Amino acid sequence: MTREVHIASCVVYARPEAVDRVSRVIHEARLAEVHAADHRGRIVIVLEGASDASIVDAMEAIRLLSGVLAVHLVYQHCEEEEALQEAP
Amino acid sequence: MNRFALALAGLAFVGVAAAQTSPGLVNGLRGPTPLEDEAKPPVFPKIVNDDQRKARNYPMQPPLIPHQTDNYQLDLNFNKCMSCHGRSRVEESNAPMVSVTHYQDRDGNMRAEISPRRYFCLQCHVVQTDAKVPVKNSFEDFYKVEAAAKKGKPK
Amino acid sequence: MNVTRRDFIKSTAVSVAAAAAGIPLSEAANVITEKEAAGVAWHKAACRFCGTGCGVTVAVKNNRIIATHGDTQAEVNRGLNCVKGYFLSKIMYGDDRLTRPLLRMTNGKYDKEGAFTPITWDQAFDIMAEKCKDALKKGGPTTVGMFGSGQWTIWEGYAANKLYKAGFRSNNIDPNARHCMASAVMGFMRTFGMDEPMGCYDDFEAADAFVLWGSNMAEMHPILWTRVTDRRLSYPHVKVAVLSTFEHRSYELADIPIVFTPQSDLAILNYIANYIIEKGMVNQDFVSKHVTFKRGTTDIGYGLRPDHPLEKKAKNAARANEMTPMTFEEFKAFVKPYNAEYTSKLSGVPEDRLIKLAELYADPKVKVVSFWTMGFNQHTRGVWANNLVYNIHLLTGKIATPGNSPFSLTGQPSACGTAREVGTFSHRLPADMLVANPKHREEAEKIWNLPEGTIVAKPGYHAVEQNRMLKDGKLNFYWVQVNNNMQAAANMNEEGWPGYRNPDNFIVVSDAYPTVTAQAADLVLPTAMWVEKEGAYGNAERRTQFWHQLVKAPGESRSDLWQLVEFSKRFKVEEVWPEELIGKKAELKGKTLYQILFTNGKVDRFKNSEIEAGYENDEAKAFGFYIQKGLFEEYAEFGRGHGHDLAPFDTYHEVRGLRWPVVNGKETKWRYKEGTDPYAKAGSGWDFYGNPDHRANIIALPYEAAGESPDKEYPYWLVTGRVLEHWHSGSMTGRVPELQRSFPNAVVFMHPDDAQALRVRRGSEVRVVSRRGEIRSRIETRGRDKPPRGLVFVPWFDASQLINKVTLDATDPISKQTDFKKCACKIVPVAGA
Repeated sequence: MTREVHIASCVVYARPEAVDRVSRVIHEARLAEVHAADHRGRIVIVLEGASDASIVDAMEAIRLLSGVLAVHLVYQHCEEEEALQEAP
Repeated sequence: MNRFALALAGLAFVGVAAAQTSPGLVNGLRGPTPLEDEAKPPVFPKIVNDDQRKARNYPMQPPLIPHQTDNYQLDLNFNKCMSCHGRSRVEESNAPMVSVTHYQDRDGNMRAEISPRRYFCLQCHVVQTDAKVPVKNSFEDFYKVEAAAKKGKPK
Repeated sequence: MNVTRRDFIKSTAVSVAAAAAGIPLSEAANVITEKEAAGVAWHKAACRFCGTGCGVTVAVKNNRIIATHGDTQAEVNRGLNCVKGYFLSKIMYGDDRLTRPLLRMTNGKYDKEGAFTPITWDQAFDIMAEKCKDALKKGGPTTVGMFGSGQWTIWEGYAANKLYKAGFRSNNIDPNARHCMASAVMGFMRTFGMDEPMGCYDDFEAADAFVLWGSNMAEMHPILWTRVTDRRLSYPHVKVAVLSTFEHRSYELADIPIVFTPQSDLAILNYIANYIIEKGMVNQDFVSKHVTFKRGTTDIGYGLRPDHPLEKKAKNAARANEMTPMTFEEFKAFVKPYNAEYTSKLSGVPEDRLIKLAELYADPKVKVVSFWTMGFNQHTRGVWANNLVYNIHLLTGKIATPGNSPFSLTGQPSACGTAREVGTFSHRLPADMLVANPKHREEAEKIWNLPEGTIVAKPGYHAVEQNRMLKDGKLNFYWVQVNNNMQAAANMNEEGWPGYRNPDNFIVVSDAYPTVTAQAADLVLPTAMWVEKEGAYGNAERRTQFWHQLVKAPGESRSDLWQLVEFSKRFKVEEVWPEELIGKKAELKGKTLYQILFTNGKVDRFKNSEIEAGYENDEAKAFGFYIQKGLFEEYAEFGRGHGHDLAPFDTYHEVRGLRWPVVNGKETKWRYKEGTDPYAKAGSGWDFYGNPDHRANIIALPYEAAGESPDKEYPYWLVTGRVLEHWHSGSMTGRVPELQRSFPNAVVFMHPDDAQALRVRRGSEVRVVSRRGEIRSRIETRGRDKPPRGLVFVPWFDASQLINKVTLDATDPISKQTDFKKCACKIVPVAGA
């Protein structure tokens, strides 16, 4: 069986003053891709991992960052690696 | 009564009436049988039971069920689907785990168990039979539309 | 840039999350990059199928729908869809989409027996106008009619209503909601004087008990069922009671499962009222302040043709809707015979289970939501069933507060929004008004700026009567839009089919696909569907929802709205109105119906520049003004200030729907309750302002037998209905391969012992035969539906097994809604099959 890829997106709720720092940490620690953030403290991230567990682990790690209030999963998808590489 | 003769008469009737019901307009779901008549129903199709996962049309489409679910208990007391697809069971069953979105409740909080709103699996996931598809569908997914756009195919 | 599937999935994930976070896409810089790479835009819409009204987001690329998703921001479904909703992206792409008008012709001329031949729109309107004018000239306005739908968008229904009732001066316009919601409407009107539920979906998260009365929500309203399931499984004290004439999927969640003998629901409802009174559980304070007791008329017949023996026998068929006052003591005496013993005997339900059910309602600590759909409404005493369930909620005061809610669910996406609120029924005008009421006609004529006397007082032909009048040659020009009534209406062999094929009649069918109804027509018009046009639906909780046109319709397909309005250009007022009427408003002379009805200074007052940037609007482009906005704002005049207030048009494009009345920008969750309904008077507590005395009616109504019951020759009850995977007649879902393959054909669900007695097995071919017709199908003794002995269930989605050849067109005499749940049939094994 080929490798599975799990892709998920979350909204991270952080304290407004911590948005920049939290975004940077998520990015630098390679916990997730940071796609958007706003001044109210919301950060849109995309996670990619080999299993559900790795997604949950990354979410948990982000949840524990200081300044983070909550991490809400919005979307999750799983597919085989091969299919994902196909170009249109 | 001669059943064979009756059947023949019925066939002749079908032939004549078919030309009268709606010439020039074919309804694939009805088939060629005229509206005044009733056709022999097809025999029950088999439920696809090959455990092969089907490609999805788009990422958020719920996967189809590639196996039989006859006599599965799915009620207030027990959810048979989760006995293979549940988080703690997949290693043993080799079945895909339900998506982690299913652990989220209506208010967006993650729970340890599957969210009750997702409890009845068959509302979104359905089996497939090997029945013939009477009308084809020309839906195109992201790839096809993208490829057509690149080729400059008129839309 | 080389875009992979991974990129697309990620961009999807990001846009969904950005939407959930409420971050405008312009702020989400990286999202734009991703989005531009993929070229995918997401938009909001309402689901095309049932009355739940789920929000969906739709991905569009190069004028194609490439994906749909449950809208995470939609309050109704919060990101979920049922299996049909998840496949919405495919419903418009069946390979046999109609793309050109087709007329039955022989040698280049219209011929009722001819072959369907492509023609131009101009030719189509030519022949339509000719046939319509012929009919008007020969027989007057009652010879023209229309059959519409709760799937019309709000402005389509409104335009059709106006074209017929004001333009052609014919009240022969009715929606297929007649088959679906008419009994609920009359139930509301008789008890509350005003249509539609007082509560809303928020009741689900507040209730302690749910009672399903003839509603298989697990299959027919799956997303509402997820909310019931969520509540039941999250709060162990919550109880679910499920009542039906056969066991189905909703029983999987039932704490109190009840299978009753068809028609005995009337007795069970009266039993509960009796139980509440006997146990002293009447909410005396509520009843004394807010309730009036009435006695309904009995022995009212079965809505069959007047020469049917059952109608001749019925004493009060002509005054079925009348009521007289009575006292509480008289009501108490009226329900007294409905004790546990009698009711149990009649219904076949064990006494202890009846008591458990009654206790849910009687216990003042338990907040109860009652749900019903077709089990109540498709019933020859459907209006009574509706009234009787209100009786028990009113006796206990369990109404219009969070969690206490008698909740009538709807089958179609805009049964409420279009059929009921717009008043496309043959007896109604917008905002609950009636054609028979002179004040209401005056009000409508004033809003429409038409001379007094334009609207005819006599109600038109209702759905079932339309088929009968087609057959009798009294209705000769007939236009069907957005529905498949040849497959849907009961007794096809004796009424529908001979009616459509009657040589005196010209039948026009507008549809996206070649349906059974289109096959029976003379002219077929290719029609744009769902997001191929700007639209609006109103769901079961009074929520009005809008969407934009997202893609273009294929070929020459045009929306119902365009068809209706364009057709109106073909009529000079002199051709349709008597001279005397035109004389009352001389400025109308020489004008077309288009000018009088649609470029009247109101409908055409909004410019196309007001259309939200980035969206197409083919109708606005064709007519030169923002017609949807003009129609909506004119329509909204009917309800504003009368308890039916709608928000301004543009608001609905921004929000995920609002529940009317919308007063001062605020929606209303619970009507008739002081504090949550701006129309309820201060100090009233509850205010049932739909009735002149501001009280709700408790109506005494008995058990009466069904129109046709099994006998020696036809020993089975036949129940028809839907399945999860298909919606209604299957004209859309049948063209989605995944849905079609999951449930390809209708079957006869039967008890295994009955099958054994007939010496048939699962899969055996049988004929399902009634006094009116027959189909061929196969026996199913396993699976989701488990009928008791003596009853069979056959779904009606299958165009290759037209079960409505077998059903009976008996209706509720008050609502005129057909009883699709009860008639007698026999099952005949086909030898060698």
